[in-house]
Amino acid sequence: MPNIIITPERLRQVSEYTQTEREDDSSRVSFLLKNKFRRIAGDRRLGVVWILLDPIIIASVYLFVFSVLRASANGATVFIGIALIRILQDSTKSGVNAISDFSGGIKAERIRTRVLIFSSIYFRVLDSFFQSIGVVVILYLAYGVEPVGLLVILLSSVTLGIVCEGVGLNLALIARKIPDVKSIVDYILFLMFFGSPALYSLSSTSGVHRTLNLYNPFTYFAEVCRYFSGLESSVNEFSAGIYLPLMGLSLLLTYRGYAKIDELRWKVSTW
Amino acid sequence: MVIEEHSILIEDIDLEYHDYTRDRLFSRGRTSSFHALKGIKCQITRGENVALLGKNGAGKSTLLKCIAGIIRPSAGTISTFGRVILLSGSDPGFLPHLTGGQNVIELATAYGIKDSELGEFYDSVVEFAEIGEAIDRNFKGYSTGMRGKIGFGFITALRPEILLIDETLGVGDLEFRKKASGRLEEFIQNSGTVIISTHSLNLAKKICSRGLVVDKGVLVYDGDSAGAVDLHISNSEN
Repeated sequence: MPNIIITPERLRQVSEYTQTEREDDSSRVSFLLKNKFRRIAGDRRLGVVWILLDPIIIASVYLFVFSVLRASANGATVFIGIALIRILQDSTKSGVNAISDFSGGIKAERIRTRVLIFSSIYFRVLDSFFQSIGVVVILYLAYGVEPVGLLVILLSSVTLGIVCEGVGLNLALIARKIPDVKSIVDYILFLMFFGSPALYSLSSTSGVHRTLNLYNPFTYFAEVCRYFSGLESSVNEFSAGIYLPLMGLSLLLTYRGYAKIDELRWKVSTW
Repeated sequence: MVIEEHSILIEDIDLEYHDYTRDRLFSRGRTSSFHALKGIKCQITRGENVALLGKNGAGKSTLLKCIAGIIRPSAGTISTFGRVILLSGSDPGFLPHLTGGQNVIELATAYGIKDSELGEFYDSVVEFAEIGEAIDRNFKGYSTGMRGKIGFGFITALRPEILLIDETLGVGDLEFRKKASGRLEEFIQNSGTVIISTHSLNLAKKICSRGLVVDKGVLVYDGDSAGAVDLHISNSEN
């Protein structure tokens, strides 16, 4: 029997977190996770398979455009870049818009924040995995990428998904207060699609464009994947003085984002 | 300990909603606050049935949401002793793409019903809802009345220690409302604390021993249900 104390600062359970409550929360995490996928599937006949198909279709369209333009794009480079940038876009938007989903779809009872956090992280892991698995199969069958490269792509996808959602969560409160922030984030993500080394490798860039990309965490995920896939990559030129602080900051923001969900959820409940 | 006898302790609760409004199309707009609850203070004992009355917009739903931990008070403290379920509207979280039956089973596990109790729970909801073969149809095709029947049947089958009901008996046809009143009475007899916000004054008198009247966010009456009903009628007529 949970004893709860509700104050303006927080909602706190003062009774012991029992084994039964733990089991109930586990069922809820599973329910929320399934709901998130159900929402994606909707009435569509192919359901969640669209998660897997989306990056393949987009990458194929860009490869077609490049062939028309007679641009010398490497197919494997584009597939890796598109898979990762789609994960970055989806995860960041999910983090920024997280507030709209704080009931978890369970409307008659307040669910614990830990249920929301775990279901978000599990969903992000699975969603990012599914977004990259189709591309991984194509890279293996059509481009002969070695298993180590495929494994690095899957791991990078999952990590990128969690990091971007966590970073996006840091913007959720301000996006709730000033909804214009969502539009600004959309434009930045749109710019990142073309400005980041998604459709091309870092070595194709120069000047300010290249310098900016050295401060773009996406670059490191994409280039590491390309490196382990035996593709053109600038990994050997990376400076630890830039990427270590950059990754450290990203991880810090990720932790902060997820850790702040409870406070965020409470703050915005009367907004 | 005295505190153990309490089911809900509300101490000087204030609540402000924040809103953004724009006067003119090209103005920047401004954020404003609305004081929905002011200094609400009361104690509700375990097993007590309380009618929460007041005009539309008086703050009844806000108070119930606050007790359920859905929204944050801006001042004061609320302590609840036991699992709280808020029956607001008729939807505990049903999913449009699943059938009524699938929804009951999926949601039941999310609300903590164990596998061993699932069959009985399902039968109880379906028997109450009486929607026949529609239970195997997609939920999105259900009428408001059908949704209400399943929703009400579902939540009253949960057996929480504290049940907060917000105007739910207004859904459905006359027959359903009679049936829902019966189920609610049965539920109240069998279980813990209930706070019911309703415009059905007969029901309030019949099933509640105590009444609270809220007016413009302030608790203006706390006493027996008959007195609360009289005050509410008098407030509504003025």
